[in-house]
Amino acid sequence: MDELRLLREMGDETPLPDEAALAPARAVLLAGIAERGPVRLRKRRSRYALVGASVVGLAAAVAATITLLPSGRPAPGGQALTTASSAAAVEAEPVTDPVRLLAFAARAARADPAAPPRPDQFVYTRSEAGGDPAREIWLSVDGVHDGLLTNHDGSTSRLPGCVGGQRDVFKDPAVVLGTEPCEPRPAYRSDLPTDVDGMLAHLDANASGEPGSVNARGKDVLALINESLLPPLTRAALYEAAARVPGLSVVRDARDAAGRPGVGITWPVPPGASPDAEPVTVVFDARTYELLGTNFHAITAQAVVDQVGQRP
Amino acid sequence: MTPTDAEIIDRSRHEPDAFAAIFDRHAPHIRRYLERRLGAQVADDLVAETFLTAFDKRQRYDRARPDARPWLYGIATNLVGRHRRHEARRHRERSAETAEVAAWAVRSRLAGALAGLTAGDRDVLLLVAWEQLAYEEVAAALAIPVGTVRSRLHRARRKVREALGGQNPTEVEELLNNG
Repeated sequence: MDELRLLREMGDETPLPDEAALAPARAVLLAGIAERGPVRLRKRRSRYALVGASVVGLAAAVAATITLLPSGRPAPGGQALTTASSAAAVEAEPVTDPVRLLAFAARAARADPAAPPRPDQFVYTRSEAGGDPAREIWLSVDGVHDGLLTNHDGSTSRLPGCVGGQRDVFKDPAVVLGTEPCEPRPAYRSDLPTDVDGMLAHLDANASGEPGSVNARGKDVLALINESLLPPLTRAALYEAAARVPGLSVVRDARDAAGRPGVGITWPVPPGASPDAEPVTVVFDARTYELLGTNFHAITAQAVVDQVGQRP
Repeated sequence: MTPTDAEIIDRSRHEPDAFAAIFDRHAPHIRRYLERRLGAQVADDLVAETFLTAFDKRQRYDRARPDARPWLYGIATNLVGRHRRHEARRHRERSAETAEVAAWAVRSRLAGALAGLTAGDRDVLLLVAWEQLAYEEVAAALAIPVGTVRSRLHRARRKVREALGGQNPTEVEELLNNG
């Protein structure tokens, strides 16, 4: 009996997909390529495609958008978070050493009096890049509630919460196809280490890119604070872990993508990067050491809100 | 002169966008493979992840291999591995479908047999039966010796035959053709 032939006939029930079916994955790939580290071709901005609110699709699309939350105060009822934590504001001496700058940022983070958000709330982040319309995202604090994403291109995606190990699968916001197994992805990361050694171990264990790549480590650090909310001690530990990365330098007069001035930290583009590649500069407020964003993105609003769609 | 995959991957080290050509060349087959094993929704997610993973590993691509497809199958199979339970459940569900038509009865026993295989045996069997890879290509994709490919395939085929209930082949053929 030729069971291989029987199997092959079973496989033949699945036809090859056409170009249209592959377009979303292709867009995610291109966005990911464009954003792998600082290799970003200035002349060719990628658009982020998100079809269905899949975790992988979302992860790829989110990874393609390097955005940073300013360390801020979660405010119930939707008050903006960016507060000048004067307690942490340091002397106006210009900082030229990246380790010192990150130490100040860690100190500012640690001094943040923010209370943890409630599990049923959402972390709202508005980020702007270039001349594109803003990207707005509402992420569930506990990962159990449905979030929402409005992308730079105006497309909207529901981000299904994970309830009892299952989450909805849908092709578009209106059509639920069924459910799939999942693990909640909380926007409030109380699961991460609060000490620098633990944070370094976490970064090592979850490293992306080539081993030892400064650029990959920078991206991993950014990804951790990308549109999510870290408890003050965790955020501080992350800055201190970032300070251990070799090859960082300070940019005295940096600007985020919205043109807001600050002090920046940058690192060289990886070897073999395109000649057009522009390094990433992470921009901090020069007085409070809170994050403003990067030269590619600016966080222009950020808050803890009670409901999806609610703006501060 | 069409460039080989190895040449494109080489170029993408300095021109990342060139990697899109690898996607255009191989994504249909990789996507179909993922869909066959995990269903359309999970395949939707994993096809981009497969190529992003490949992109991240492109520095380590073996330039001696002009065709990247076995390498991509290997990456995709690794990702399938993270969804083992989902895949086994999916095959089991297919085998649980009511078998009105005789042909489907065979089909559902096949699916049940797939669900019962070990992960490694199933990887080899499906890369050969569904994706038509040669033994050497399977070995390269899964980073195992060719001898291991042979022994896994042998064991997997035997189990599938057993699951078909020892019916003699002509009966099964007839069922499929006339059921």
